[in-house]
Amino acid sequence: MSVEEVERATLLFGGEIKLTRLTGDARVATTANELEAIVHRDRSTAILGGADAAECAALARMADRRGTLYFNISSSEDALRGAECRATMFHVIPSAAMYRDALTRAEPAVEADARCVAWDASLVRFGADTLNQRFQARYGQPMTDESWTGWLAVKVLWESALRARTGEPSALVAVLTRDTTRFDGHKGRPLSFRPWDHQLRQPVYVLTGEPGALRPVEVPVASAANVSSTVVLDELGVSADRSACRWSR
Amino acid sequence: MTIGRGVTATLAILALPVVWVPASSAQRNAPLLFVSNEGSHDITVINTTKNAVVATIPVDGRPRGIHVSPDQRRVFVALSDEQPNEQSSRDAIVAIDIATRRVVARYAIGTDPEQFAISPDGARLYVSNEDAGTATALDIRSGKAIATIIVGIEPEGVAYSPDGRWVYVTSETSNSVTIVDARTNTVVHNVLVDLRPRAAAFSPSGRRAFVTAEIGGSLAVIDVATFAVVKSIELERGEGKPVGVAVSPDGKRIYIASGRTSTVSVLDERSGATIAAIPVGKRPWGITVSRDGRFVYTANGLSNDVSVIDASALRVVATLEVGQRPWGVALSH
Repeated sequence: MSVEEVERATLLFGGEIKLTRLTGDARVATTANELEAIVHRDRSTAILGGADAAECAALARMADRRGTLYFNISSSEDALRGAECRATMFHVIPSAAMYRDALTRAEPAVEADARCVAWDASLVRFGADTLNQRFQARYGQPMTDESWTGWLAVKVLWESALRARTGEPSALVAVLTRDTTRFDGHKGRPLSFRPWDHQLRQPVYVLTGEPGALRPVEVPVASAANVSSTVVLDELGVSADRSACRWSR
Repeated sequence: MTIGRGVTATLAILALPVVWVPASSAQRNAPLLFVSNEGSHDITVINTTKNAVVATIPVDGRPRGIHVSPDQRRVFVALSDEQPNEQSSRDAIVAIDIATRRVVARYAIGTDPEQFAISPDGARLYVSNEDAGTATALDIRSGKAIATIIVGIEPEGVAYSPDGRWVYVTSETSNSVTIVDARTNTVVHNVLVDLRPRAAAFSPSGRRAFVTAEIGGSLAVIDVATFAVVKSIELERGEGKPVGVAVSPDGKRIYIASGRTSTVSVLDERSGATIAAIPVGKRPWGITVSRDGRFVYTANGLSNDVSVIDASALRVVATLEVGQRPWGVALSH
C-alpha cells in the first residue's frame, strides 16, 4: 500500500521515490553489509524497520554513519529515545513511557493486564475506517500497530520530501523538526515530532472490555478546544526536562 | 344526509397518501432544503419559508453528497452500502424529481460514492471514488462514464468552477487538490495543501477557490488563474476542524462548518479575517447559503438536526429536527 501511495504522490507532484523492500518474500538483503551496500548504492534517504530494540539500534547506528535517516517503526524501547538517541533517528511507534502513562491515565478502570496500542483495526473516526478498510481489502488482514507505523513512516517521508522539494536527509530533518510541521495519521489530531527526542506525538489506545470484544479508548482525552495542542499530547511520555537524549554523541 | 356520513367522507380524504400541489407554484413560493441522512437512509425536505419539514423521502442506501440540478428540477444524491470497497447495486447516484419526490434516474458509478459536483450547465457530473483514488466524469443524459481521472489518495471533495471550466478534487490522505480541465477531462495541476482537505468551493466570480483542511485547522485560498495557494487561513486559532465550505452569493463571506468544534466560522473574503464563530448543532459537516444570502444551513451529524443561521444577526435562529446522522444540505429555489 505504501508503494502505491508513493507512486501516486510522485505521479501527482513529480520527482522519483524508490521504496525497496528488504525482507519478506522478495528478500534482497540478509546481512547488515548487504543492506549498507544498498543504502550506499541508492543513496537512500531513509531506512525503516527493525525487528527488536537491538536491531533498531544497529540500523540507527549504520544510518547515522551513512548520513541517512532511520525511522523506528517497531521498538518502544525508551533507551532509543534517551541515552541512545540520534539526530537522524525518528520514532513513529510510541515509546514504552507513553504506553505506561496512557495506562495510568485511562478513563475507565484498567485491568492489570490491559494493553495499550498505537493503532487498532476497529478504529472508525477521523478517517480511520477508510484506512482500515483499504488495508483489509488489500491484504485480507486487519491493520496492526506495525502496519500503521510502517505506512505512516513512508507517508511522513514522502510528504516531507514534497514539502522540502528534496530527498536530502539534512533538509528533511529540518522539515521534520520545524515547529509548524504536522502530519495526519488518521487519528483526528495533527501529529508532530518532539524536538527533544524525535518521538512522534500521538494519541494511543487502551484496549478495555471483555476478552474477544476489546474496545480501544483514546488517550489522552482532549476537548474540542485543545485537540490540536501539543501540550495535551505531551502528557504522554518523557518531557523535555526529563529527557536523557543529548544529540551530540 | 346525516352529519355522521360527512365525517366519514373527510376521513377518507385524510387517508390519501399524497396531496397534489402543482410543482411550479410550490417551487416559486418556497425554496426547499434537502438534507441527506446517512443514518436513517432518507432525505428530509424542509420548506425554508416556514422552517418546517414537509416530507421525508426514503432512499435505498446510505445518502451523503447531495446537490440540486441547475434547472432546479432534480436533487441528486450519492448512495452507498456499508461495504466501502465492494460495489453493490446500492452504490449509485440517484436523481429525485423535486415535484413528485420520486427517484427518476439511477447511475452506477463505482464503489462507495460520497462527494460529487454537477456542471453549471447540468450536463455532467464529477464524482470522487475514494478507494480507487480516481474521479469519474459522467454524462447525465446518457448515464455513461466519459472519463476516469487519477487524482490523489482517498479523494473526497469535488467542486465545479462557476464557468464550468475547472473541477477541483480534494484528496484527504495525500493532502492534495487535483485541478481538472473539464473541457478535456485532463489533470492540469496538483496542489499540496494543509492536512486532510475535505471540501472545496469557488467564489461566485470564479477567481478564487477555498479548500478546508480538517486536521490542519485551516482554509487554503487558491488563485484559480495561477493554481497557487495564495493564503492559508488558520481557523479558531488552529483548533477548528473545518469540513464543509460555502460562499455567500455576493462573494463577500465564506462560511465554514467545523465538525469537531460544532461551530460555523464566518470569514471576510477579502481580508480572510474571522467575523464570527457561531455555535451550531453537534458536528456540522454539510453547509449551504440561501440564494438571497440571508440564511446559512448546516447538517449536524451528531445532534440529528439542521441549524438555520441568520447571516445578518450571525446567530442560529432555528434548529430543525431531521433524520438520523444528517450529512449534507442542498437548496432549490
